[in-house]
Amino acid sequence: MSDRCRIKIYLQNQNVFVWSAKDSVTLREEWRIVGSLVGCLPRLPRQNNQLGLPLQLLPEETTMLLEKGVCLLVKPKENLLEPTPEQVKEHEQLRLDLYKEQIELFKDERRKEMMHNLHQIKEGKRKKLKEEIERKKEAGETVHETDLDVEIDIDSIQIPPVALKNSLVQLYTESPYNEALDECGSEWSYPSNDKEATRYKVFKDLWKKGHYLTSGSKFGGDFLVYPGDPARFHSFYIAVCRPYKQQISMSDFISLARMGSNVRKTVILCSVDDNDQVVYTSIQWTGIA
Amino acid sequence: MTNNARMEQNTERRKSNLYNCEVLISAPELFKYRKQTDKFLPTVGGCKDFEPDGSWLQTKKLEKFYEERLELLSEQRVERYGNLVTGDWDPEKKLVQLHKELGKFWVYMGFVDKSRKWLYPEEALFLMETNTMEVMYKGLPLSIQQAYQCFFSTEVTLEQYQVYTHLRRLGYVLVRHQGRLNVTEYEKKIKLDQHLKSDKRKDKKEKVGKENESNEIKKMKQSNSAQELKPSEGASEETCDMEIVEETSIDESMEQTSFIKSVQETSPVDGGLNRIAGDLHDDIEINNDCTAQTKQIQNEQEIKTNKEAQYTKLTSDRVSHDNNTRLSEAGGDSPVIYISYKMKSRQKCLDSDLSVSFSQPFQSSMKNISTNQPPDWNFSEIIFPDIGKDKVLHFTKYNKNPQLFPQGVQLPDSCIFDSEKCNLNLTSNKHKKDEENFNLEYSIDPSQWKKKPVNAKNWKEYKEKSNLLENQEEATPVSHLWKGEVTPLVKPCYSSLDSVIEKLQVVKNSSFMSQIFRSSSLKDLQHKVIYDVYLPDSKFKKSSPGLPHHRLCVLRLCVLRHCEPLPDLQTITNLHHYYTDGIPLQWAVVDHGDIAFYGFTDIQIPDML
Repeated sequence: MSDRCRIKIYLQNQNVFVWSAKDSVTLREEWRIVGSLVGCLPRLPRQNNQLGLPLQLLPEETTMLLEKGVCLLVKPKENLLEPTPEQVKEHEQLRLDLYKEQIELFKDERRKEMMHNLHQIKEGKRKKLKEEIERKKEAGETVHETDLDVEIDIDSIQIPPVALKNSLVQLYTESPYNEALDECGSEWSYPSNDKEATRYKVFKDLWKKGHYLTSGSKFGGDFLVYPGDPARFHSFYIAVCRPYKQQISMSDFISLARMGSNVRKTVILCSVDDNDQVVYTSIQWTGIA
Repeated sequence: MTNNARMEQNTERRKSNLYNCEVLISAPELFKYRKQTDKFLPTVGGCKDFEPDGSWLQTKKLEKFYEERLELLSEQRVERYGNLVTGDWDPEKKLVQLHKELGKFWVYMGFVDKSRKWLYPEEALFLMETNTMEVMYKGLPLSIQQAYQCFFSTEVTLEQYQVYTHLRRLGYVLVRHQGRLNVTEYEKKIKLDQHLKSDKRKDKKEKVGKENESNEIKKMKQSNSAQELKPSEGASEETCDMEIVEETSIDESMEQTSFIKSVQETSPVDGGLNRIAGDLHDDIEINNDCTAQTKQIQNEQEIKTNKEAQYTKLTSDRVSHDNNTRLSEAGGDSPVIYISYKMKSRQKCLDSDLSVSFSQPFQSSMKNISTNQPPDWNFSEIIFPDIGKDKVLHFTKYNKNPQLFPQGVQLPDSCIFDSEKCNLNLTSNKHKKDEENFNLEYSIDPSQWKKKPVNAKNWKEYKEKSNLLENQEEATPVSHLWKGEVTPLVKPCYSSLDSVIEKLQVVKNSSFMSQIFRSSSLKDLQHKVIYDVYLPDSKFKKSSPGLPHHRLCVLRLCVLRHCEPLPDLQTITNLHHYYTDGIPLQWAVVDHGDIAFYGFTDIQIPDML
């Protein structure tokens, strides 16, 4: 896969984000990478039920995507681009152009509206005329009754251009500028210790088996494992990663088992054995009295 | 609209070096966003299934969800130009300077420094995300992506912003932590904090939270406050009158509350304690080595009490007596002075509760008891009711024995004593007692509300008068000692050893709280309290936000490098006790965009024995 086709993921202060809508959809639909949306939804920004871009990725997701060559980890060459005067001018020109284009669009819109309400407008005009005629009659003037028919030519009406303050502007979520980007995959060092290595191996193994994974912090585990897309299915398992050769405290063990039965999910203890194989053990509180 | 289509529409601008045309939208597409109407939220995938079974229905549902999701996510932020507020990003200060303020958000956000208006990065970013603001950098608008790149630092982390924006989206008002506000729980309960000016409080805000701020901002704020000072000096002459009035009104309201309380407490006891009241009153007067100050209070209260029925005298005097002793104790107890009102008389009332419920039916006759006692009590003849045996006692039984009752007293036929009810009353009273048993502390200097109101037209007159008043108050047998050039250090009003020591500065007092505060672990933890959270309120004022609804710490749950473990229990409890106002401290745990809130609460385990 060439660099151009790869999905760009951005390393920003140690966190990894996807900024393009298309890319985040591709990651979910083709690569079963869920991530989590963390921004305000442009349509309804003041609610927490559905969030919008950016999509924040788990470190495991990032490492795997880089390993598979699906994505390219990048960061801008400079933290903040210093714009040149020409660029500022270009921005102002763009705003102006877009405004001018909108003037016509708003005019067309107004015309269409008038066309749509033509009979009402005519009715109103007629009423006004009638009243005037009545007034003239009372005053004793001679009136031509034929004046009652009103003809309106919409195309000839002058429509004032839309005010600048009413014109629409785009607020950029994804950066619209062509910035120089640095490939920085080498900076990405996850997993860097044994604990992280176990987590990563478990993540990858479960993912390879066709599961969808999200962070398991909601239930105090490492991952939540879904049989299909998390939007359509409930999670089956809570994956808890443990070192292969370390005793588990009994109270930890019990609390995991009881928690699992409470939320109706299977708790699986995951580890990597001596042969570098991922092993799974499930805990059940059997309730045999 | 797909990106390719966008590219085609922007053919003219394709040559541009500056813009990536996949992101830029054209005028016709912009125009499509003009209508505010269909701003509904599509459902998130609908009701979930158990497991994938490969059925046509499931596939269709998923397809529909993906379709909607793509549409929703590709939606752009478009706003009317006139609705936008603009600001400039200052990378050195890490702040956004507003060009002009507009709209409601200025009530909740930002601060002013010399006539310049600033926004913190989290505030600016939230406004960018809610389509209300455009932040420029040297003439070019910043995208949200760029803002994510450069707004965050050690001062504001991504996690903090995520918590901030999460709560702001829900409508809460978040202010950067203001440090301890030094309002006691009692003051909060009687809502005194809403009327007190913060500078009246003895121990001013310790601006711990503000230490987070970079020096740059601090300097700006300092210069600002210095500026503010100047005009206020000039204005002080006019305002001083008002302040005095305010002070006294607080005095009054406080005295009234304590007074009313005492009245409420004593009322059930009724006249039975009348005589004791008188005796006690004398006692107190003899024993008291009152200072001029406290005498004055007593006088005030006596005036009030005289107007009221006699029985209130007892408690009001007690209160004032309490005041005296505590005042003198507290006088030397700086820097932190808490006056604790322990209403001891309350205990007595409760103790006598049983007799109260007995006596209530014949209230009118009670006064006569003391004067007309039966000549002799032959207990072999008098049958006392057995409360333990019968649950409900009918007093009509005992009515036959007239000598048990004071002269001229007749029991009504329906006179019943229900022991169960009585027990219930007792227990409910007990609860009440527990509730009121905590310290009634004030965070303000007692001298503040003991001050006599001074009527003055201007500052000079006020000073003269108050000086005069002070001298008058100190009229003691040894007042001539203060007339010469050399005056004694200790005044007679310093009645306790503590206050004398304090005046002579022999031993500096240190309070327990400040000791906790000095411990380094807690000081570190201070920085963890990031935000003060307020409920949405139309009366909210940035300058005096009052007491927050809760305080917020942010913890990052994260496997990557900087995982923050939970601090030990000692630091957590210390931190909770450091805030005297009893406002809950919440802990936000952030894990890659997932936010959960947890709280620690002191729990009283009931004693079951």
